[in-house]
Amino acid sequence: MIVYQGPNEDTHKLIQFFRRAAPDFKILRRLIVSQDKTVVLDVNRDTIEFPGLTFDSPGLARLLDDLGVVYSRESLHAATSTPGVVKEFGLGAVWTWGHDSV
Amino acid sequence: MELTERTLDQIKDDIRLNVVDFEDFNSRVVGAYNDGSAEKGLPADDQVARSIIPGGTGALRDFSYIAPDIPAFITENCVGCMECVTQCPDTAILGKVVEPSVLEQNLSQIGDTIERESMGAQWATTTKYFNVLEKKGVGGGKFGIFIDPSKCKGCAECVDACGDHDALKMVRKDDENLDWYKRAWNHYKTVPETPGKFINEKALADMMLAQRALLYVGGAGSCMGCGEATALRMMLAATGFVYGADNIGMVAATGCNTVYTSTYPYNPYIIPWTNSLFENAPADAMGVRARWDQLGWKNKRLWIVGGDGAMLDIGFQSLSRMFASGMDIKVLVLDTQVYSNTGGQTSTGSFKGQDAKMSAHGKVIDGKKENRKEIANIALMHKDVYVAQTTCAHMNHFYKAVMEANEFPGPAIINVFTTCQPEHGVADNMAEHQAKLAADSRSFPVFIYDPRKGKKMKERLSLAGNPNMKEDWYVNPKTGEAVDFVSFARTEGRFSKHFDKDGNPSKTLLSAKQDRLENWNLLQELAGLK
Repeated sequence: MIVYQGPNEDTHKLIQFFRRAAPDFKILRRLIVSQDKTVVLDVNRDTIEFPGLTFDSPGLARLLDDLGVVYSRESLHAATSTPGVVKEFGLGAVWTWGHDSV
Repeated sequence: MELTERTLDQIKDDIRLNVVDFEDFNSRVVGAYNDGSAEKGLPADDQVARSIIPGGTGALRDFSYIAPDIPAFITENCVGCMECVTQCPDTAILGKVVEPSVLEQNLSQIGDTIERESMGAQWATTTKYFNVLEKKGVGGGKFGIFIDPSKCKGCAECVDACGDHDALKMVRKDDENLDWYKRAWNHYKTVPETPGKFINEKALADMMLAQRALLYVGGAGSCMGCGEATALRMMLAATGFVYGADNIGMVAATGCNTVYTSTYPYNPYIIPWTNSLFENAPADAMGVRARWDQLGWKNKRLWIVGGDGAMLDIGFQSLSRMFASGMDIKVLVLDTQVYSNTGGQTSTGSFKGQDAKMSAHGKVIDGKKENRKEIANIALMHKDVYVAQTTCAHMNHFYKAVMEANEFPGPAIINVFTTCQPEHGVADNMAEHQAKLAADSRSFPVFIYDPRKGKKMKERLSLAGNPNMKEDWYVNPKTGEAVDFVSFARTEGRFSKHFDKDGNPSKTLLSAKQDRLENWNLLQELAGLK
């Protein structure tokens, strides 16, 4: 497990940390957001943890975008006001073969 | 003239009596391909001219160089569920149960202490195969999982299938551990086949413990994590387990499945197999069936295999004709919703809005315009045809469908959702997960239609296997959110262009969602649930 210890409000720093850390992991599999943290899991269930990064953090949207997750921003914001809610996003989507050749 | 006729007779005799010299083929031909000298070193000969490949030559192919990672088995976490063995598309991970005394005897043959302990540590004491049988007083067995490094392509599907059990993880390959994997695989091969007492015939997952169920040896040229190959393995397992390898034949319609299973000289099947054309596999199979019946080979199971392109589009007429014949022929449709082999063109099985060639998402059109054609719905309107729609993620449903199809005294079709990683736009380890999600989201409902079950449609059609069967959508209890076609589409690259920057779906995607709902409602109505 790797834990991010930088400031969540500095989205650039957060993303740079993630991009440096991710290559040491296997195929990324899931991202789980709870009220107090965000955790990225690879296929081995090894984790990159972001304490304090949650639904209303600007860094979360940036991280989801960086991972190519297609999610509804509206439902993400709605989760902020729902106590105890946990959201899970799959990280299995990739570009189709030859997507850039048509 | 007489000489020519005699020569022809001799040639015919030679073909009949010596179809292929498999020892020569395995060493000379496969050997040349394996060492890279085939293109320049192999002469053209009558074996090549006849397009014959002996069974199981895929076993001689070595893929150990293609992937950086390989699964590692964590013995103490294994429960013996066999999910990893079942879901592997390449027969690269197999399980075996052994009597403890037999294992001790086997291990004692290993001279080196560290090596002996290392091999012994691969055998787990599970509740399923050890504790339960010990309590019954029949003696438990040790369960081992072994990885064949020459077949593993590193997709990690097995690790995903293992899930919360955490009994597998991907590790980096290096010279040292690769050598260990080879030795461990050789150790696996020296242990006797799983005794029958450990194979619970009611636990369908156990079938792949039996050698007679392993009729696909791997070494095929399919992509990493290919959903089709898993479906082929599972169909053969369920058929071979009951009827044996000598009683199965396969007629394959041209498509991805024929390319990766007959890339000369590698053949992963150890059953008779033939490929004619894209469009005529059912007609071809009718000829085979007729001849087999003439010979009194009624018990032999004959399967047609084809993709959605072959069965829904190009060979549809031939398929419908076969259904009408009433002949004892079974069909496995590998439904990837796209022409996978030829580069990803739209088929009639593609979902509305799907981004595929011939209907590429752009400024003028936004993916496929038509709704998806439902081959299973169409099939059940033919008289006396057994129909199932299923996925490999629904293991028991899949196996039950294959076994019932084999028993059915007439035509049967099983339409299987098969993930095509490059064309669906999903990662290599996602085949099972996406298949499950396709069913949960009503994108690809599972069902079984058995004409023997009653006079009314609702008696013959069962939607068991789908979550929340009576509702429009399944609601995930963890999130409280409906799992619909849009939520399925969010997880696959083939639909990614249908979402704006805020993640809102396009009108076309919402229309596709409505199409999926209407299809589901139709099935509910036919099954008497609405």
